[in-house]
Amino acid sequence: MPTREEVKPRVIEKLLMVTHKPAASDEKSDLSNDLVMSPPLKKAMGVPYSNISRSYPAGLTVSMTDAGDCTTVKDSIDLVFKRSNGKKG
Amino acid sequence: MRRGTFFFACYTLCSGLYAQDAVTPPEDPLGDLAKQFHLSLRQSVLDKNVIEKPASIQFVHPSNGQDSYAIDAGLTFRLVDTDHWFVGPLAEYHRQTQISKAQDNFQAGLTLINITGDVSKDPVTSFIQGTLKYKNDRITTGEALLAKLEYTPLAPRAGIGTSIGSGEFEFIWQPTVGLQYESADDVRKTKQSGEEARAMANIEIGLFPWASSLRHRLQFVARETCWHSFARSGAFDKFGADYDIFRASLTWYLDTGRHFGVGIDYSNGSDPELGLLRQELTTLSLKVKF
Repeated sequence: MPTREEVKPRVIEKLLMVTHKPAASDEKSDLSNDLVMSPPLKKAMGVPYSNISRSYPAGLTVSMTDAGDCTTVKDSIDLVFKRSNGKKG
Repeated sequence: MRRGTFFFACYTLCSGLYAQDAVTPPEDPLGDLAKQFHLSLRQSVLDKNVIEKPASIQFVHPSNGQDSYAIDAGLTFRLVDTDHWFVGPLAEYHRQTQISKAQDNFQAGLTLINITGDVSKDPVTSFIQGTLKYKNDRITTGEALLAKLEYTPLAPRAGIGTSIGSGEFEFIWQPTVGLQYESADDVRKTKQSGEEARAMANIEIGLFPWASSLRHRLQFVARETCWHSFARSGAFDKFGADYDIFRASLTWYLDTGRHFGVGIDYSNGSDPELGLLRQELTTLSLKVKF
């Protein structure tokens, strides 16, 4: 079962790869306002997030709607952490 | 904007998806409820805007004329929802009572989204959306069936999907192309039916001057959408084959959390999908986003 500290750098790495903005390393950063991610791009993050979560034995898919609903970097880390541990909701 | 007209507009967001303070995330019971029931509420659940727009209710009180109101809201529900696929029913309502730009449009149907590729690795990721919906437009087309298929590329390195540029000037853009088919029973109040197949192209550009200093609080967004009818029959033959609408907005958010802002919105053109007749409109708005 991965810890949040284990998942966090992997999520931030994906956000940095996509946005190329240092603010992606800050959990408080807002995906729309600070990283300027469009709604379709936030939804498309479901694919790289799922690649992280499914790399763990109990990992579940991160849906495009859940990925699109994330408001901050912290939300994204929390979401991937939950799915990586097989938790829905 | 008309001289002597006092315009008051209030944007309300019923979804809690914006409920996010920049420093400490607050309690968000509405957002939690929406997530629990897999619901999303937006100004339009079909639009793929660069900047997502909240559902809105506007009230206009002119000093020398009749009051009017406008509603723009869309609701969707998830049936299938994975990282690559989404299928869900949707409903949208767009209402404008002001006579010069009357709009009364209800839409309900099914939408499907496919995302192909990994946006963190691939140079271009495809965002494809297909929609089949029933449309009841009480102003322009009567009852109609509308089918459409749209393609939006996502290429973050090229500024499609996220902004690029220097710290003080950032730029984002997003193109979308698509095909549409519409069958209507009362085309522009002719009491005659008709069918039309259209090609659609949309481009949206967002500019953020002094982006770092102002933390993206100053936004300029411009959007041009064009439709060209390449096959048509019945009453659609009586009208032009081309439609277009240009929209632009300048918004200044007053707080760092970007909950409150003032802005100027301009639109000029017609939108066959929303049943919007050709018009030019400028509005000064107070914007509230939660």
